[in-house]
Parts: sequence; structure tokens; C-alpha cells
Amino acid sequence: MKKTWFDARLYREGLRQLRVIGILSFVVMALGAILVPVGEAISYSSQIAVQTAQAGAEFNPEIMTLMRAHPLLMLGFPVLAPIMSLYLFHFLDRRSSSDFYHVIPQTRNCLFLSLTAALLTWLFVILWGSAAICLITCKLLGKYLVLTTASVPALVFTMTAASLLVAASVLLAVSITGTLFTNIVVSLLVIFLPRAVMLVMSICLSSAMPYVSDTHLFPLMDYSWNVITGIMFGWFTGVSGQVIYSYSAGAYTLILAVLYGILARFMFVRRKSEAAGQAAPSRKMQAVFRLAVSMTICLIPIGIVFSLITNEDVTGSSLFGVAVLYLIAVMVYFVYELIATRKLRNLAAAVPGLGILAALNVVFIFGMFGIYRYTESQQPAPDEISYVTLQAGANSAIAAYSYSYDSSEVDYFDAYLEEIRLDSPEVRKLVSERLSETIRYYTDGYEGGIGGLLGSNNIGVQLVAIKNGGRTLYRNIFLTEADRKLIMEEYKEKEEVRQLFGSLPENDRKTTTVRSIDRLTDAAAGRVYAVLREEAAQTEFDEWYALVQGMENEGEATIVGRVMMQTYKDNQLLTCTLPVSTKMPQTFAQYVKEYQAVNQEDLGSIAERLKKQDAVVTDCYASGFEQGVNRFYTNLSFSINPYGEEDESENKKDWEESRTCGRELGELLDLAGTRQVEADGDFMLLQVTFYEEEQYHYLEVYLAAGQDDLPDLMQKNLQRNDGKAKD
Amino acid sequence: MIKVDGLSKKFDQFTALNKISCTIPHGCIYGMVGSNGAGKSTFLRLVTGIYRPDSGKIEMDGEPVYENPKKKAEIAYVPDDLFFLSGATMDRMARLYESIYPAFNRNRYGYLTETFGLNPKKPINNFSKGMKRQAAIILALSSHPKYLFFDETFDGLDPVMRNLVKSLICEDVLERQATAIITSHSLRELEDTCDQLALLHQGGLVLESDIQNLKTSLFKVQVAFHESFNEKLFAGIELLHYSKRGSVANLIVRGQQDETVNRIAALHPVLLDVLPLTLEEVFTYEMEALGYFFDPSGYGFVEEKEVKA
Repeated sequence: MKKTWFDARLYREGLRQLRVIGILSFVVMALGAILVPVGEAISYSSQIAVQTAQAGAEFNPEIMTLMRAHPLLMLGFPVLAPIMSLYLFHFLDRRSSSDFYHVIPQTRNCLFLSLTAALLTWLFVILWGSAAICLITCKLLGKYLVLTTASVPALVFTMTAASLLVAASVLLAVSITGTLFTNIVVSLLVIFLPRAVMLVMSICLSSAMPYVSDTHLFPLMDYSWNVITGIMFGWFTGVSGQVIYSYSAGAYTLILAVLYGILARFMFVRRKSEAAGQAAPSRKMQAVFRLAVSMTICLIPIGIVFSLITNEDVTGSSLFGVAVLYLIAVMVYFVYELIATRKLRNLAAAVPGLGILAALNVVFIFGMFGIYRYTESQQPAPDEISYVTLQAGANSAIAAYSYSYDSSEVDYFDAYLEEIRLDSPEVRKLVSERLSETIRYYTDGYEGGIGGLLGSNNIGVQLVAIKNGGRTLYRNIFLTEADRKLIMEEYKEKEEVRQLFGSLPENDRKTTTVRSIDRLTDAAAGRVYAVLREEAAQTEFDEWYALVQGMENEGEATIVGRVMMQTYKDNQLLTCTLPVSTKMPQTFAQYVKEYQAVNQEDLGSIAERLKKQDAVVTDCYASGFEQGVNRFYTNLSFSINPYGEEDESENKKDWEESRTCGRELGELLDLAGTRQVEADGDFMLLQVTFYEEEQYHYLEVYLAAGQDDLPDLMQKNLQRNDGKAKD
Repeated sequence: MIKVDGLSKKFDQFTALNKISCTIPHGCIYGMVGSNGAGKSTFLRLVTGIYRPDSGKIEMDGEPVYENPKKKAEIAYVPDDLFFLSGATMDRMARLYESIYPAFNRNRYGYLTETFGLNPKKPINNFSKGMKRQAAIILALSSHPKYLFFDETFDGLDPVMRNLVKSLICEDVLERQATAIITSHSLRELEDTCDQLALLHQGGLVLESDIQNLKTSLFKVQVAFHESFNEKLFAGIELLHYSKRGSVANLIVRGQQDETVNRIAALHPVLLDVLPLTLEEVFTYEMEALGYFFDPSGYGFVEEKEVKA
């Protein structure tokens, strides 16, 4: 018997049958791969046009991941794979076509493998081909866009794996069922039900046990291992979608796809042609599908019942709600049977299956309760803990001190500190105690344990990974400010932490880029960063560490600005805003220099006009605030009347005062070009808003001057409680 | 040669075929007749390897058919429910057949398409029912199969096309020693085409015989005597059916015609006529002999016990 595995002609026939869908899909994907980067380049170029007009032609190209440049790649698994699979294997749903394909001179194995090969060929061509087109497009737009090279193979790999998993799931479904409706339902069950069960259990358990990280509740059963559920469930749970760049998730998904594919092939070979047009190959399988669909609905009341039990909060309305949900599940049970088989008499035959449904629900609820009790009991003693690591994320201790914390971003230092093991007896004892107290707080109805300290000690929640024997417990525990300081002290003792803080990544504009978050251009921020990077390596670790963590002591340093560094680690974007401080004089000097350069031209021009005394300064308003030691930031606004006309109704003395103020201000502004601003000397940031020729103008300038150097009129304003000047 | 031995097939609790055994020799045109639901299509699907039998054996030239590409390459099957690729033309289907069947012949395809007068570039969806059937027949015949299976194929064909198809089938059988199996619920359709006929009823093979043998071994005799007489007068003659109206009796006799006539003539009847039977009549009387009676309400045969009940 020849040709038992693959037939080239059948393969070509499969390619031919998918030709229309394949070509159409490829065209859409290719267009997306070209138009999105072009659009991004156009958008970015108009942004930098503004910057280059201000400060010259230098700018950094936008670094982007492949996902941002080619978002249509995400259509591979939810759209392309299922449609193409269902289309090519739809012959199994009709008697006539099923008979035709089963009478042809090929074994079923050969038929399955040849057609599947055709399907996979099209998927690969579309996904990889469009990714290649995107790469070429971005290369051509290299002046504006740079693709992170690491993101390309990672994303292509995960999207391919996800598409293969969907295709394999559909093939498994069509090999078992015989109608389009059941093809789709069973495909969805195969893809999502196992993970949905895990997700619901995870949500219920983590809700009942807030001290457990829901993303780490069931190792390997964590839905983020599966690329598809990791993305789709992540939309609902708000968990980061970094799974799309995860090689391990991609590999797991691919292995799952291969397993499903092998099972699909096995079922296809065993499939009876007479199953075409039948919802299921047998009444037993039909019952299984029916139960699976209903159980999906039952997951909701299961979660509620579990919550009621653990919270000991059973009310009439909650019971009623549970009853309604179960009623819906029963209705879905019968409706599915009716739609799938289209026979009313089957409804009566399906009634006994409700008993099995009920039993499954009971098993679920009791099973979860068992897990709940077991997890609650996991409270390792200090000597049972090997080490602890602090995990980055919403509850990061570092994040609590970081400037401009954004929960959607991962802090650069947090991400690397995750790898630092804390194993001192003090930390292990601390974590052990805090874990027990945290658990007691929740189990005693938000009163026991650490509850006594809440509200008094600046307590926050920290996700920690506790290595306990061969397993790792991920727990959210309460930590006081003193606890954090203790942990920080331990970090400071570690050479890797010193290395981390002392060796910032280079701004290579490929994997690492620097952005300005104030008036500097990105290029200027990059120059400041270069100096900061070198100076940080030479600065005392304790000093630099305190600056970064925002724990500087008041009265010792002034932070005049910040630069934002962005880099990639394992395809995850990490950000970090680094302070420019008077504690680092070289960086400070570079920063001030770049600052002055922003509006040097404006500065000179306005200073000249003010000194000529033909400009009358009116509507003068000044305010200021302290920051650091001997620093004075003054917000000054005024109007300039270039014609020097006087309003005769005004007091002549006030006009003289205004003219004098203008001249003195002009002389003060001259200091920007003559007197060097020193980090250890007096200086101020003068923020000037003035109205001239029916336009508002704004400039900022650092001046090596103190409050006494300000014009008299401004000093008068500042002395007033409201700071408002009267002409 | 196709050899079927103890073939059974069930669908859930319904028994479609129950221990069917038959032998279909090479170069034979084998007709299978039966009422709706008798199991004809199921039989064909089993023999062509679409279904796997629950029990029993099917062999073609000594080899099993199921999952045997070598044997399936020798088969062409035209079902009652035809399949064509969505939106396909005949040429597109020909390309499909060409990729699947190694013996597919483009020249024959072209010749047959022209003979039937079909447009190969027109979507088959736009064909009439009869034209679709013609298209399926063309594709099947173009595959130069050794075994042809037609499931109620002549339905939907006009008499001219029907004759054309029959002649093409006979041509293949004669020239290439092909074997054809044709199912129908109409005896008249099969009468002038088939060599052998089988009757399926409720999953069982009730009757199988050579057509010529059927036609010649059974005949009707009309006889009348001066004296009164009854069935006992004809003892020694194998009577399948005896009816008398007035003084004229109608006998359905199995046996040698000449010998039977001589025996009856020796009784000095006043009337003795030998009349041929149509195939329908042959089947009807054979089935009666087997205990099945024709049920005019359902167009089928019912067992004697059901009638008595």
C-alpha cells in the first residue's frame, strides 16, 4: 500500500482550494505590514519636525516592536487559522462531500496529512511573508523607525504557534463532530475550556486569598503559558500581554498544537464517514459536549458559591442569583442539544445528564475548597525559606518610591531586582512573619494579623517569591516602611545591585533610547544621559541609590530635572526616570547647558528689548517656591508695550517703576550668558511668560542668582501674600 | 471480482445491512433493486470503502477495499447525492479528479463532455439536476475505472441520456472488462442493462439471480378444461402461483418450459397458452414464494407474517 503519508497532488489540491482565502488574507496582511509603519513614520516625522525646528536636526528614531509595526499579525490565530481550517475540512460536515473524499484512492492518514500540510503552508506564507514585508518596510524607513531585533523572531514564533494551536484544535473538532455549529463549539471548548476552568479557579481562589498571586496560582496551568489564553484572558484580567514575546509560552503552545494535531489525525483516521451531518459520532460524545458547554456556564455560579462559602456571607439575594445562573446553565444544556441535533425527543433523553452536571459542580466546589485550605496552610517558617525575591509589578516596593510611577510600565530596576535573592535571616524572618500576619488579616475578616498596623505605618503590598524547598510561593504580603528599608539595606550589600545601579545601559538607539520629559529635546536628553551614566558609575553608591529611589534627604540636594531611559529585557519594555541632581555636578552642568540652549536666541532678544527702556513692563506678576536649599524658582509674567506709550491716567511713578523693572530684568537675563550656574551655588529657574505683539511667549532660564538679584518690583510682588503686582 | 461475505452495518440501533453475501463476477453489470431504506446505498458505500463494515468481509480481486488506495484507484462511484467543489466548473472538477485518480484520461473527458453537450467552463451550480448527474457520470467514466458504482444514477436523466449512459457503461464493460453495479428502485430501468439482479429488502439480500435465468425459468401458463379442476391437477409441476377465474387458470411455473407444456398438454386442456413474464412479475412471484407480498400502499414487499398479522 503506497502513499500512506503524503500525496503531493492532494497537497496541491489543498493549496488550490485555499487559494482565494489565502491570497486575500496575504494581501490584507501585506498592506497592513506596509501601511502601519508608514503611518507611524509619518506621525513621528511630524513630531520631530517641531523638535528640529527648535534645536537642530538631531533626533532619535522611534524604537518599536514588531507588534506595534505589524499589529495585523495578531489576526493569525483568531481569524486566519480557524477560517482556513474550517474551510478546507468542511467536507466532513456533509454526507456527499465526506463520501467523496473517503472514496478517493488515498488512505485517511494521507488525506489528513496532505491537506493539513496545505493549510500550514498557507498560514506560514501569510504570517512569515507579511512579517518579512514589515521588516523590509521598517528597514526602508530606518530614518524614523527601528524595529527591536529581538521582538521579531519572538513575535513571529508565538503567533505561528498560536495559529497552529487553533488550527490543530479545529482539526480535532472537525474530526470528531459533523456539523459546522458543533465544529465551532467543540473547537472553542478545546482551546478555552481547560484554561477557562483554571482561570475561574484562579480568580476565585485569589479573590478568597488576596495574598496569593493569581498569575502564579497553578504553575504550568497558569493561562499565560498558552499564548492564546494568555492574550485573551489577559484582556479581562489586566495582566500584561508580554506572553506574545515569550519563547517559553510559544514553545508550550507549539507542543500543545502538536499534541492536538496528533490527536486530530488519530480521530480523523478513525472517523466514520457517516458522522457527516451528525452533531457527534455517538450519543455518549454528544452528552460529553453538552456537559462541557453547560459546565462553561456553571463556572460562574461555581465561583459565586465558592465565594459565599469562604466569605461565610450567604444571603437570600446571593442564593437567588446562584439559582438563576444555574437555571441559565440548564437552559443552555437543553438549547445546545436542540440546536446541535434538531430533535425535540433528544431533550427528554438528555435529562439524566443533569445529574452528572450537578455532580461535576459539587466536585468542583469541593475541590476548590480543598485547594483553598491547603494554600492557606502554606506558611513556611524562616528556616524553611531558602530565599526571597521581590517581584516587579503593581505592588513593587521600589515602585512605591519611584517618581511618576505608571502601573502600565515596568521599572528597569525592579525588573532586574527580581533576580536578586535575599537570603539573610532577617529578611527571611520578616517575610515569614509578614506572610502569616497577612493571611491572618484576611482569614480573620480584615481584623487580625497585620490589620493592627494598617493606617499607621505607611503599609503597602508587595509581591514576593518565596523559595520553599522545591517550590516557589508567590504571595502578596503587607510590608511597612521600616520593612522596606530593611530590605533596601540588604540590597545595598549586594554587589549585583551595586553593579545594576552603577552600570546603566548605553543609549545605542536600538535597544535603549533616552527621552526627554521636559523642555529638552530627545537628543539633548541623550547627551545629559551620557554624562549621567558616566557620573553614576563614579558616584558613591549610597548617594546615587538614594537619588534613584527618591529617598534623598531634604536639605542635601536639589533635583532640577529628569531624563527617561527606555530599554528592553526579554522583549519587555523597561522604563526608568533618572534624576538630574545637584549631587552630580557634571550632569547638572550638562543639563543646565542644554536647558539654556533651548531658548538662547529668545533670551538674548528679550534681554535687549528690556534694557532699551523703550519697553514698558506692565501687568507684572511673580510667584516662586522653594526647592532644595537656597534655590528659588520664580514664575514671572508680564506684558511688554514696545512703543513705550504711557497712559496719562496712570500714576507716573508706577510707570517709572515698571521701566526700571524692565531694565533690571534685562540685566538679570544677561546673567544667563555671563555667570556660570554652579551646582553648589545659588541659582534659580526663571520661568517667564510675557505678552508682546498680541502673542504670548514663554521661556525658562537657569540663572546663577538669588532672590536679592531680582528686580525690586518683582521682590515686592513676591512679598505680597497673593504675589499679584499692581502697576 | 467482488466478493461480499456476511456483511453487516448498523447505524446506532438501526441495522442497515444484515449479513449480506454475494459474488459479483468480472465484466458483470449487477443491478440492485429495493425500496427506500432497503440498504442499497449503504451497500455501495461499504463496497467502495467509504464505510467500514461492522462485520463481514468485502474483497475486490481478493483484497480488502477499506483504506486500500490501490483498490480504490480502480473504483469510480457516482452517488445519488452528488458532490462538486463550491463554484467549480467541470474543468475544475476534472483537475481535481486528475489529481486524485491516476488513470483519469483528459481525452476521454473531452470526448464525453462533447458527447453529452455540456459546457465545461460553466459553473456546475448553474446546471440542472440532470446535467449535474451527467457531469458526475462523465468524470467517473473518464477515470477509466475497473469498477463502476452508480447509485440511482438514472434518476433525473431523460430517456435519451439514460440510453446514452447505459450504452457507455456497456461499452466499458465490453471493452475493458469493467464491472458495474447499479442500484435503483425501478426494475424497468435495470431490466435491459443488467446481467444480474439482486433484491434488497430491509437490509437483507432476498433474491439474487441471473436475469436471463430469471426470465426463462419462470413463465405463465393459461389453461382451461371442460371439467372442473383445481390446483391438485398439476401436481408434479413447480407452481409459484395458482389463480383461477371461471374455468381459466393462471399458473406461474418454474421449470423447463417445453417439458411443462408437454405435461399439461397430456391432460387435454381446451386452452393452453404460454405467456412470458415481465421482470416485475418475475420478482413479484419469486418474492411471494419466499413469503413476501407486494404492498401497493408502500411500494415494497412485506413479509407474509406481517400480512397475516
